[in-house]
Amino acid sequence: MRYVHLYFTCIKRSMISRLEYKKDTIVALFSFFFSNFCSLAAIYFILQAIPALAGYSLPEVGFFYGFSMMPIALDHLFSDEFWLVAYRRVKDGDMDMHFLRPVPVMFQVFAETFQPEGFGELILGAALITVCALNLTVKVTFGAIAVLCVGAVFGAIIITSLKVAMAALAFIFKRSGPLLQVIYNFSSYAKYPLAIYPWLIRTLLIFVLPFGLFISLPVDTLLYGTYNPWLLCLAIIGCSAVFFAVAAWIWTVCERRYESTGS
Amino acid sequence: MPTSKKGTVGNYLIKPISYRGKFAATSLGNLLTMTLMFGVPLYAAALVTLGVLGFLPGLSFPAFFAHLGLFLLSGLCASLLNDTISYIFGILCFYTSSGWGLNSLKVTLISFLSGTLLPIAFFPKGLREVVSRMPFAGMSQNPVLILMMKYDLKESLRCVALSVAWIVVLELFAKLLFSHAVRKVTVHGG
Repeated sequence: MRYVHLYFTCIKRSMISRLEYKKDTIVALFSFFFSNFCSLAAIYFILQAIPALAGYSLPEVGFFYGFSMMPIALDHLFSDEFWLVAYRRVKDGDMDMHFLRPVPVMFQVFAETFQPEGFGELILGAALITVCALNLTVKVTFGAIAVLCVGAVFGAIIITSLKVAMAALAFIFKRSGPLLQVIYNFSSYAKYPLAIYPWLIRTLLIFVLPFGLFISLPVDTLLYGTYNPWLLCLAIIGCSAVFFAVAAWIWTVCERRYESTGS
Repeated sequence: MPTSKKGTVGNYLIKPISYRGKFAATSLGNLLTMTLMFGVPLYAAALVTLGVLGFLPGLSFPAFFAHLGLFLLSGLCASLLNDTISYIFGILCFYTSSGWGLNSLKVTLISFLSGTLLPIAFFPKGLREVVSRMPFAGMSQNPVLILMMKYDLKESLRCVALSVAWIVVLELFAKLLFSHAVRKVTVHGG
């Protein structure tokens, strides 16, 4: 309970400190609308150029794309600070202050930023899902809806865990941004049905970097009833628990190896 | 960019070295290490693998080396363009004192107009014409297409020339902007 209170206090402070720079806030607002406009335009161009993909119709591909934005957006809202840790903050000797406070360092990093830009992606994804769903004729089951919700929420936890684990390596190597970038970029493969990939990449995307597990498989379940939704829910939740536990463990191990670079 | 918010910008401005040159040197150094450490080995490995598997039929060597040379040139231009555009956004931070909004604007602008978000070939015709004449196309799309030999030599040369022209124009603009902005900068301690 104390941590919930602390989290909101920190986030409030961080928002206020950003809004302090008035001109920059205006640019940021403009950039927020502009970036969403760009993503929408990109989707529109894709849909115009690709009529169908590996037997999936246009609204189905759109649905995939929209749904893939959900876990990514949720992760974007809460864990953007880990990018800075991986790229810059350890290298610049900027992390020392967190080690002096009587609160876990990982919590402090989460509480450092809240990215409202994530809301834009959520809204955009939801809009795309709605538009495409209206053009689809599938029998919607309760299980399929459940597995989509589980995929979005626990998928976000898996993405965050990957981010935490990769950013933690910066404590040892001083800078792990490019590595985090490589891992994170695999999420863009998951924007399309797994069926379009050769088996090697498909296996990789289900068992190693499970972006396919929480994006493609739930959508397949909704569209074609390919998998048992409840078992899939269980698999995703289990997977996210394992990923988070491993990430937290990596973070603790690496954190102990932290040496300040001075500032 | 963060140097403006934290006030460390003052430390740089009082040093007797060119503020612009410092960034250019850093980015060229990064380019060199990245190319030697990752670019060359990965590219060689990919080339050998694809060659052995027979994915590169009818590769004629003079043309291949010409494209490789033009790629290196356009890659250098890409790095300089990236650096110049980042620098311009960096100078704009002198006016806003913070880089959050400008940085996200820069990232969006570059990822959309350079074809990293979606290849420029997908853009509708009118927009494609405009975007391919802007500096951003030279930052990632053109070098890659030159290396993949999707452009013939004439087209590749045209791309490199366009990039060079843009570098000159943007650099001049940056110089003018800097001489105005440096009078506005507020140094927040440091």
